[in-house]
Amino acid sequence: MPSSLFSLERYWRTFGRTVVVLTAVAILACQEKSPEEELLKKVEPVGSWLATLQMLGQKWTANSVPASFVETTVSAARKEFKKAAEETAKSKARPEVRAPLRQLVSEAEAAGAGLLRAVEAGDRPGVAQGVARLGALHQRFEALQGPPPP
Amino acid sequence: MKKWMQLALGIVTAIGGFFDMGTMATSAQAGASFRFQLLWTVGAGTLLVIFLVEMSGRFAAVSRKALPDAIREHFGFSFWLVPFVVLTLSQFLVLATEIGGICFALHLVTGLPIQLFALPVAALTWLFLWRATFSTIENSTSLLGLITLAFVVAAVLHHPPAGPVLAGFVPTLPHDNPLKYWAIAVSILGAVLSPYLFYFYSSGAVEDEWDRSYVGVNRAIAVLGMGFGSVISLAAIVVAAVVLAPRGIQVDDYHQAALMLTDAFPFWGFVLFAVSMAIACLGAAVEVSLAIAYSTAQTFGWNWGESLDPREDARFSTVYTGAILLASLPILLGVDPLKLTILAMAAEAAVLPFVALPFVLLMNDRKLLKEHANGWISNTVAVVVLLLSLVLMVVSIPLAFLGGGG
Repeated sequence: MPSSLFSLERYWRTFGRTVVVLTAVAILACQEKSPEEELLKKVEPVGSWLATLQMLGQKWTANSVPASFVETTVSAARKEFKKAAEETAKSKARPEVRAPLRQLVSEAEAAGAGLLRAVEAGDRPGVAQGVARLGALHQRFEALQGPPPP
Repeated sequence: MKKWMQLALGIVTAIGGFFDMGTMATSAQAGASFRFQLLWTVGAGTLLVIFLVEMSGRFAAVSRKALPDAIREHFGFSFWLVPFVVLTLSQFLVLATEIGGICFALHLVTGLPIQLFALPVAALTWLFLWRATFSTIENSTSLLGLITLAFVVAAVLHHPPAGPVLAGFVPTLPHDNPLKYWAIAVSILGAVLSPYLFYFYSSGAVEDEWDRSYVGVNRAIAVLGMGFGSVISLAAIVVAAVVLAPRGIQVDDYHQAALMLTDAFPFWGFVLFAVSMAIACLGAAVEVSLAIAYSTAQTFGWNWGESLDPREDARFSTVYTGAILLASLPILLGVDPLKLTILAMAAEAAVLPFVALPFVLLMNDRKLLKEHANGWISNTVAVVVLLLSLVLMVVSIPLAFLGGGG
């Protein structure tokens, strides 16, 4: 009977075992990471969001995106920055890794808010300044993402 | 002449219908994170889906039956029950992501919260299904879906480097972040090898009253339609690779993907992205709603047909009505559309062996299909699909969580 080929119970047993093994491997793999590496991995999206806000400012200046889109994107970015700030605060990474990250995330949050204010005010030079600031923060973030100090 | 018209329409349908929320999300993530390195997954997935769609259409044309109907009749209700349940669950997740996609597109252009659009979008999708016939749905969504060709035009305008693009069609291992690489690869395969696609296609062929004389037309539609359709997906990877990746932008949120077309079309790019997303997702939402209703009605032996008046197939209409309403709930409750999409694509990959196995068994029934049963080429591909689907079933969901795919 074909249904024996298709035993749901057998599938779920195999599937369950595989999930458990993969999860265990992943947990072990995570445990192998130092707190510094773990923190840098968790805050990785910050770099991508800094680059996004930079492009967003440039595109708003070029009339390629509406102000409402800037508002919703900055809001999404700020949620990510907030999450990164929380991760940094609760991390067990060494202070020399944590402190510059905390500072950078806080500056990123302020830069995002500044960009939004400038867009809402229709202040093009202000947006250009914000874009430059975000670019500098992105570069600093990339430098921090290098290998952690021994 | 009618057949040639259907061929043209079928190709347009496939182009317009191939690109949906899943392919859009996974392509943008692939290009932004790994540039051209994951092009091979779309290439491989397309090759396999061409065979699956061709088999599905051939089956419907020769047997005049849709797949769920035939599987239930052939193997019995209890055999079909497990594939039916997992197929319905995965289709439900896909429907929720497509509704989420339309809501997100509206959020992009209005700036209003996504949740606000969940119920109106569900009502619009339902109204479209309630009022329109199968051919109206097929023609309108597929013709409107051609707007997604904007991704192809953008890819051409960017003049991507030929060498790395061609090299992307050869599978390679990632330099770093292998979990994310494989999570996206599996999601792309899940998005391209959507089980609902070939199950829906067979029901559509029955709705269009195909017979044996359509076997050739079906083959042409499968090859040309899926082939052209995949070009849009490939183009989206290329655009993300040349626009987002060099800036260090990864797609962790759809707001980031929305900037993809603004380099190629400085003024219209943003709007084109939003409209492409809305139309592609509306077309897919309608198709998936119908697919859920088709498979449910065929499983329980009810009257079915989108071209019938809802009074003639009340249970069929009730199923898509309920499915649409339920599928709008995750978005209404604030679930992130991108995370939902990645989960849905992983679920699609996971259910593939359940639905592919009975399909392949049926395609080898020489009593039913006679000379149109699978030959060695189709069966070789079917074995590849089954083996691949078994791997995907095991790895897809753990990878979606571990790989940070969403």
